[in-house]
Amino acid sequence: MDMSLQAKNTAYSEKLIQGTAVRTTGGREIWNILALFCWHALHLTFIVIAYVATIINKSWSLLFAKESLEKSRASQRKKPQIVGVVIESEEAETEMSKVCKLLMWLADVGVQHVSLYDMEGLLKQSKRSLEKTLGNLNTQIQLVSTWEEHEKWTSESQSTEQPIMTVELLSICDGKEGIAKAARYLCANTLQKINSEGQHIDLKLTEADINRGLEAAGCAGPEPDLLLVFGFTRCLLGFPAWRLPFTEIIYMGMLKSLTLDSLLNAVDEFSTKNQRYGK
Amino acid sequence: MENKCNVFKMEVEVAARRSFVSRCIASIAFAICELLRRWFIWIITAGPIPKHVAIIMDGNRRYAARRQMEKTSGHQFGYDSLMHTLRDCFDLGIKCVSVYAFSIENFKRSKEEVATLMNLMQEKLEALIEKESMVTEYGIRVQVLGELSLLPESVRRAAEKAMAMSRGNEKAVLNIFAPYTSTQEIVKAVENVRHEVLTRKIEVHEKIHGFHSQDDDDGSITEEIHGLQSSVTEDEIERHLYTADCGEPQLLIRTSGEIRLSNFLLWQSSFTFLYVTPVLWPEFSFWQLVKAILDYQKAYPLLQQKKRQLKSLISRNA
Repeated sequence: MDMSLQAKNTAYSEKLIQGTAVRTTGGREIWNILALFCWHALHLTFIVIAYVATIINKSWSLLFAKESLEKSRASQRKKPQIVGVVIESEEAETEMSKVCKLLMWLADVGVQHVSLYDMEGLLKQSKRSLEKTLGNLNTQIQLVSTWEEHEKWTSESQSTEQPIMTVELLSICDGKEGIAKAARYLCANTLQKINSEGQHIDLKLTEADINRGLEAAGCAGPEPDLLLVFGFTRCLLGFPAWRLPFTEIIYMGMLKSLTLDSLLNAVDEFSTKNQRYGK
Repeated sequence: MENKCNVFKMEVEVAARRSFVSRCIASIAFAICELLRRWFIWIITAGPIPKHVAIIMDGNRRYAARRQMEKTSGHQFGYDSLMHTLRDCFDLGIKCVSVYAFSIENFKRSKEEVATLMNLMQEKLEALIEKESMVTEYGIRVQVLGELSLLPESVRRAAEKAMAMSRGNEKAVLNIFAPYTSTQEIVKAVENVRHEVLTRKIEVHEKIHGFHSQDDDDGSITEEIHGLQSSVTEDEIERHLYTADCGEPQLLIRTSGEIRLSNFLLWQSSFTFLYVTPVLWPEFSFWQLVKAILDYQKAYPLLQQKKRQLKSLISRNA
């Protein structure tokens, strides 16, 4: 009798505890919903502010077009020689003509080498068609697969005195995977040295060693002066990191909405930046 | 320094002479600011918050020059800014903050400036342990990462002490990168991976063939590379980076208007949202941080989608 009463009592108290628990989580939920509502409101106001700001900016630049002329004169001082381009794979598929246009504009600006990157490697897959369209456009643009090939082309072009811009196609497997390949090469190399010469394994590595390994793995490339990032977000999307220590990164928005003006603006912006290299 | 002290004294005197009313107004204004801060934190944490934030603190010297002070004194203001930003970050629930305090490249600066920076670093690292105010309050594990052997003896000792004292803290992590460059980090990681793999290989080799049998030179480089395929990988290198326990940052903030990585976390920031503000580092406030996180939250769904694409890409390749 006593036992059953006790059991009833504990059951009741448990129920009570559960009830309060439900009530508190309910309260917290309302609180959370309120926070979420405020959060959305905050984001909305920021979007509206950003939209208004761009409209004001655009009308401003329309009113004062003179200034941009002066800017382009200033750009004659420093020009990017090597340019990296990051595009989203979705756009690489649909905006192939725009990619060709971008390459032509870059060639006109005086760029010598372009490292064209998309994550999934769709550009690599459609290399043939890209080559064809560029050929039809009758341009001095040459697709290459490695950096060494670029040097071959430039040395040839010097003899014909026609400036050639080379384009290298990159994908995600040229990035970190490239460094892993280089590391494998270096490991194998030292292993052989140990086997043949009996050297100790505690040899120090240097940056030059990694570069040598990257060359052996076919993933070596120059450090771009300027990296143009196209797409929805400011994100490098896995562009080979080893090449980017001091590269100037400029976010360009969607490739679809690229115009010659915005590209020239980016080049101008690049020319006004000064690098200190840590000094 | 003396001059600065005098200025400070004067300010204190002015504050003491202030009337009761103005002091009241000041404290009310402060309370309202704090209330607003709390409120914004509450709202923002309703959305996704980055776990790991990296900060490139640029513009200290320009700030000092703009205020017509000696260039090196800007770093003191930079330190103050860092402290309140760290507080904001940990209040927001960010678990790990990485700051680029000193680059190996920075040793090229004038001897005077390097010396002041080193003194400041030592002083602040020691203060971190002495008071233990913020470190214990938030349960922060402090890590000084980089080529520590390049630091002066006293600074290195201070760094090691700070790391040892805060080792047990688990709530949050503060990575101070000094003196660091990302390329050096990658080189070191590759070096360590190589060391591990080769010692393992030699051990196996010695077990089979006895001590140093030099007869079998037949393994050509390509075969060796093939044998290393499974042991020397991207993940293995990643495990040997300084940030192995915090993962990659989701948000990278750079102040004073330029977007360069300046050799900071190159490997780790390939899928990081890059936020740039024209504000100089000493002027960086809570509101700039709010703006950065709002921008990150806007980009968040797309970044997640990209990461999913990457995963499927890797599994397809494998």
